[in-house]
Amino acid sequence: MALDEAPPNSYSGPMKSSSQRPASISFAVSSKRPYGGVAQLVERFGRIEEARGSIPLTSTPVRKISAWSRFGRSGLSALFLLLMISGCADTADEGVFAGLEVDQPQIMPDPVLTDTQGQPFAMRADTTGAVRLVYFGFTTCPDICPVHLSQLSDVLARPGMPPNIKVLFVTVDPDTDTPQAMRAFLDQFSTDFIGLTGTEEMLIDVQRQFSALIATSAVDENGEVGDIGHDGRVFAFAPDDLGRTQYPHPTRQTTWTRDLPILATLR
Amino acid sequence: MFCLIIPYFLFQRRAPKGHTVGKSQNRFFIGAMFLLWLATDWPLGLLGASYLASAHMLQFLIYTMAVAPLLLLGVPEWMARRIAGRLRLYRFLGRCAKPVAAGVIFNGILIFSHSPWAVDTFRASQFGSFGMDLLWLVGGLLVWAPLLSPIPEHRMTSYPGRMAYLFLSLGVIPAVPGGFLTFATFPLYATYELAPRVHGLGATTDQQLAGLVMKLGGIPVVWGTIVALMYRWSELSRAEGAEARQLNNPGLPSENFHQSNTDPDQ
Repeated sequence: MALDEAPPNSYSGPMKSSSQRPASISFAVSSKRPYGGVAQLVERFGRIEEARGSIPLTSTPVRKISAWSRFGRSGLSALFLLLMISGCADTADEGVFAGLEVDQPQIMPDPVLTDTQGQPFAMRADTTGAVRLVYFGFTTCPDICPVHLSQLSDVLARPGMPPNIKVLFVTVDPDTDTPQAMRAFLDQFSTDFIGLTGTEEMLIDVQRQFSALIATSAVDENGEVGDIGHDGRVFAFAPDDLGRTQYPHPTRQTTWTRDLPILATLR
Repeated sequence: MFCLIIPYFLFQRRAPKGHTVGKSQNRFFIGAMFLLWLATDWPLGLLGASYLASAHMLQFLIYTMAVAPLLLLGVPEWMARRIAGRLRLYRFLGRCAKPVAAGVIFNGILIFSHSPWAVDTFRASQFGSFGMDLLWLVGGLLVWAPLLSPIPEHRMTSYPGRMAYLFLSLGVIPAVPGGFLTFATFPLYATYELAPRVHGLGATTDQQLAGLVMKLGGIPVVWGTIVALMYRWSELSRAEGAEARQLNNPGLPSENFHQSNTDPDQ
């Protein structure tokens, strides 16, 4: 063992040296006793109390505990302990949000894009005071985009959901997704969803600002453009403009329903 | 399907002397195979495996309420005895066909195969989906065996018992998970919740529809069978009454006397 290495079971915290330690405080512990620690303290305390007369000197006869009773008691104790541990484990893992929490929340970027009415739309300034759910997708997406939007549409229609939630759908395929095509696509889910587009360069820049993965088209051997690979996360920003959580695909409705009311309160 | 069709017709060719498969039995078997194909293949099979909880439930209903009883009706007694003998399953089948065992096993399969864990785990792969379909078919065969087993000694004999069994095992207990699905606040199955929507049908609506299919879909079959059993029971009682009167008063005309010798199930 190295000299600077602590021996096993030793206390590694700050310790007083032997010269600093008051010798009179230490209790003499009999090495014959098979138990120590708490049991010993309890016995010692019992003797002191007995001497004081606060507890009768003659102890009550020990009741014989049957094997079943012991088994039952130990079983119950074990169950209780298990419940305690599991309860502790649950609370230890539980964060504020069910979604992916961001370690260092960033302020929501405020790029200006074009909405489905053809009007300029500032992503942060035009949605002040609302929870913003930003998603980068395209209208011909076969799976992830419709599922995310459908989930959000179902969740936002639930009673008790806060009203100030804006879904911002930013296209990553501006050539195909005209404002009209986007409006028709989004209306399948909700007429309140906001569709945003711009030039290809602008959209790439917006994805960078939101730290999203930049969407790319897959090109096959014949040079034909296939599906577009894009970021499947929904970026959530609270009314205080901080992006605290993200929701990857797949996110279940229970997660959304738990988190959105919390996000809406963060002002 | 081929594992059912090929042995069925092979057995027919090797039927013992004096035994054949009746026309109605052949029709029942073909009907069962047609419904099996309908429930397993595109589009219902695909929708049930990956997209819609309601399609999944419709599949379950077809397997257990239509395919299984038709299969049992389509298999002649000699063929069932031969299969049970070759596979050394006679005793096992007899035990499983006891009403309590059959009801408990079927409802156990029902609850297990509709639990979110089972659906999300097994529906994720083709083999898992196949396993679930197979489980349903076996469950369906089991639950109908006390009523329709091709082996007569495995069938229940009392009419009130049959009706009570049918009502409890296929009418009452399946309504419980059906109720859970109908009144659940959130979609229970991740597989269907996170699948692309079909014709804009929302995940919660789809699940409510699935619950209704489970609760109400079996009613025509279960109550139709109970009514048929009741009718047969009353017919049998009437014939037995007529027979008793005939024996007590030999001078009376023999009204419906021929019915007393027939087993209404055959």
